[in-house]
Amino acid sequence: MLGVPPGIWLTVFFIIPLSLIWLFSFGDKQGLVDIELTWTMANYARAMDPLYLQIFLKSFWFAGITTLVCLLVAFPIAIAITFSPARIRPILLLLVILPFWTNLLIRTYALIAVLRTKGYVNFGLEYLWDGLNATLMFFGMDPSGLIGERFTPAPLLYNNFAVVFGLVYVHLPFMVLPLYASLDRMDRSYLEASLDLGATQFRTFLSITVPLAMPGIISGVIITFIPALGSFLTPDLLGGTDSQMIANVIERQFKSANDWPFGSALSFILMYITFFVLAARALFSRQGSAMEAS
Amino acid sequence: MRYSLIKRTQFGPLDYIHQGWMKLTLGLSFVFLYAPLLILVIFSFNDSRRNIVWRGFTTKYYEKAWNNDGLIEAFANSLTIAFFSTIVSTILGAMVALLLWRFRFPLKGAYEGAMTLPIVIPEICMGVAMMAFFSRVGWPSGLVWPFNLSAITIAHISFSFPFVAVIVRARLANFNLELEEAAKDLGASEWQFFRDIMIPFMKPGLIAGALLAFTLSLDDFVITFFTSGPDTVTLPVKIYSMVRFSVTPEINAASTVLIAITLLLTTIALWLQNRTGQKLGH
Amino acid sequence: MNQSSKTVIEISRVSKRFGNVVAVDDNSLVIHEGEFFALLGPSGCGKTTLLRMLAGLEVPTEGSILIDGEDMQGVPPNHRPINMVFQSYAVFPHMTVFENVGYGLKVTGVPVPALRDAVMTALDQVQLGDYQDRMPDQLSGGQKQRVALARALVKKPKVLLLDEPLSALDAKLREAMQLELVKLQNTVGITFVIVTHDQDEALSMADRIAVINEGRIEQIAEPRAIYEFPANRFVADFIGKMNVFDAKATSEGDRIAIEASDVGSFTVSHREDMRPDQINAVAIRPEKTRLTSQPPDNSLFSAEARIVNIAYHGKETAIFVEIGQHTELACAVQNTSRSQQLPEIGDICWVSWKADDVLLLE
Repeated sequence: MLGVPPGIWLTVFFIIPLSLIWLFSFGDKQGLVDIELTWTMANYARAMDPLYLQIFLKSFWFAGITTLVCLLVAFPIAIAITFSPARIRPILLLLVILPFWTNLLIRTYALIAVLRTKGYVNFGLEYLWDGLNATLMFFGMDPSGLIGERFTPAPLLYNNFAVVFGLVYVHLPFMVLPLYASLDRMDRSYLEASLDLGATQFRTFLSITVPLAMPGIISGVIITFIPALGSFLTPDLLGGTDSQMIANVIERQFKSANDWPFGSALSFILMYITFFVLAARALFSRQGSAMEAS
Repeated sequence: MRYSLIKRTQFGPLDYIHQGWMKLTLGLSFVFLYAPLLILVIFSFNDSRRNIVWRGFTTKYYEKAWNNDGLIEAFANSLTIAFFSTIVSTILGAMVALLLWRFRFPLKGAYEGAMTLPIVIPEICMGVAMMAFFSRVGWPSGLVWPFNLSAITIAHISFSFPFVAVIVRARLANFNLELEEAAKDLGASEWQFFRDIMIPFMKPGLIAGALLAFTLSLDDFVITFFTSGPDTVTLPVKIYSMVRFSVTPEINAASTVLIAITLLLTTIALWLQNRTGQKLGH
Repeated sequence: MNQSSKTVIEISRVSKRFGNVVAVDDNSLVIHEGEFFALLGPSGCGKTTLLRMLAGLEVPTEGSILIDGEDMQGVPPNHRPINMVFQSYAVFPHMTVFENVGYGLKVTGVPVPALRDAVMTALDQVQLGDYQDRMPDQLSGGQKQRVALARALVKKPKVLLLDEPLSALDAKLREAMQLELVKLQNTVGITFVIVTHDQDEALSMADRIAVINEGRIEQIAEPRAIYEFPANRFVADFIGKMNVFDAKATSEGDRIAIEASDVGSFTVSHREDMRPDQINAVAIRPEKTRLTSQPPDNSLFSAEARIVNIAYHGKETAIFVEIGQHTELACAVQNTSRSQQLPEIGDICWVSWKADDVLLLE
């Protein structure tokens, strides 16, 4: 009884829509709006076209770099929070979580203002340039040969760098939280024992902290990688023409290009990848727990 | 001396936060996370269209935003959608949570798995699926307000209620089963037990879930982007179209309002959580 | 006992504050080489903090710690000639027994053959020779503890620190481990410093004990002295059971006359370290009292009493008697025979003790 209304809702307003585009992905576009279900594999075959394969690879590349950068930045943050005095720990955690609750679009928009040619970073760089210029002049050197005749704004927006920067900006809290959770659960006498036995801090980090925090690392990697892979807004607003990710192609198929069958096929490939990653993780953690139980 | 070569420290070995490089990392990370947002908020009060140098305090962009009918309409739409989505999501989510917590039934694993699908699948996929669905079933468009918002509201409920279910279920996991036995032992019927014991116990979870549903709905861009039409624009979709056009202080003002609302809701949620936590003596 | 008088640890005026909380308050202590030393006190008294400061896991707020004559201030734990057995054992869950025990040698670059020999010797010492390939979750609590012991011993530290090593074990195993730890310490000849809240443990294992309360060392002495001659009211109360009475004392020739309200008056030998006007209370241990149905001879102090409660403990019986109107006293009677007759509640009897078994307290 209790399960029926949500079950119906999920079926009608989630499962059926998904099934619909699953069917579309085997369909053939007829005219402007009609789609005939022909069980063709052409849409999937087209996704293997080098043009689209390259976009998939690029998406993986962006998501991978983002995950790696997040991991490298988040680990020290998580360690600092875990071992901070109990009094300030909730405040630090809150500071990490708050951006998470702020609208994704607004956060991305905020980055535009910072990174654009006439944005704050370039403004700051120009200020530094002017300062350096004046200093060099003061010492009687000709600045043009050293740092260039005029200040040229760094191209920080509408390129691959901007996309990865934006993805890291948006996803960093996703990585910090699971890392923090696993470090916080860890008995710190393991670290103390390692130090006590003569290992350096770095050695302790590699031999004890990383292996014991592995479940948190894997969780963090997955919940960063999956949304990063399917990102639409960040590449859309911050990327240039060659920094399109798979979600942008899907959007184009459903909106301007109006090729729903192909867009549906791409959507399902993205979903299969997501499920594959999640399944691999589930398998891994089951193996892990089986090893612990035996 | 053997120890003369050792770098001596004045802090304990695990007091990482006192170490310089750690402070630096933490500080830089927070600058990275907050500087863009702070700049956005500060410059919404800046008396200059160029928006890069501070030219004095003004609220004229808030007035401008307030007088921008399209923006206000989008804001009203967002609040309406969030309101209805929150009510339905909270009820559906609570039902799922209770069901999964209390009962065993065949295919429970499948049911549970299906309920987590909206949380895990990429937003873009859900967005295009919703778009295809509403166009194919011939969902009526061009209805009078607020019925024209029904498609967006339905899509929002679909991705919100599984989140509510997760939160309420986490709350239920702390329920002491002896309370039920005690209530029944004292003569409570199933319904009385539910009304007098379960609902009050679930309340913090329900409130937290409702606040999350509200924020998710208010903040959603991708799925709404695919389900909204020209006359059903929400605030994020409106901001998106403005952002595509240019960076203006007006957008800063509208964004600041949205940030303020989410901050307020988050603070309330955390405060409620803290209060109930203290009441329970944790 | 293989201790010498050579000092291995010298703690001078060490304090540790966490915010406003004083965990360790101006403590000084010397531990000799080869000694089995116990830090004993109720939970939260600062004994573990003191131990952790020795290991370098906490930094003293004030004072200095010398190990083997070297000032340890600012020396991180991985550079101290000290190893620790943690209360939770902290046996690394992702390493085998062998890897756990070898860890401390591996990280300091000991070559593999030497490492293997040392690990196997250490495992044999704790009777875990056949367990080298097990994972920690396949071990019992007692076995994990042995791994933790071997892991620390293999480093051949100057001092081995043990933080409540037996608290997680059940009563039977704990007793066996007490004997084994003492035996092990005699074999390896390393100084052991153990932290415990269990007085039996401290009394039975240690060569010397420091009793700690609220961050301060109350007494440092050998177990027998701690029990028979507690330095103050806290130690008297904390170690064993004690009947304490308010009392007044006056000089009476070369002896001290004690006037304890309700109980009566008697004289005790003069004490060098205490003037009569400092004495405010006297105390007697339950097992140092005797209960008789007739008044005993005059060599003992005695008082008439009424039995108010009886608690049977198997090897002994605690009998609570009332002297006068307000003073209750616990007596311990050894149940030396099955046919032993026990008094009943309400019986009138005589309680007596040797006057010099009485403790004088400030």
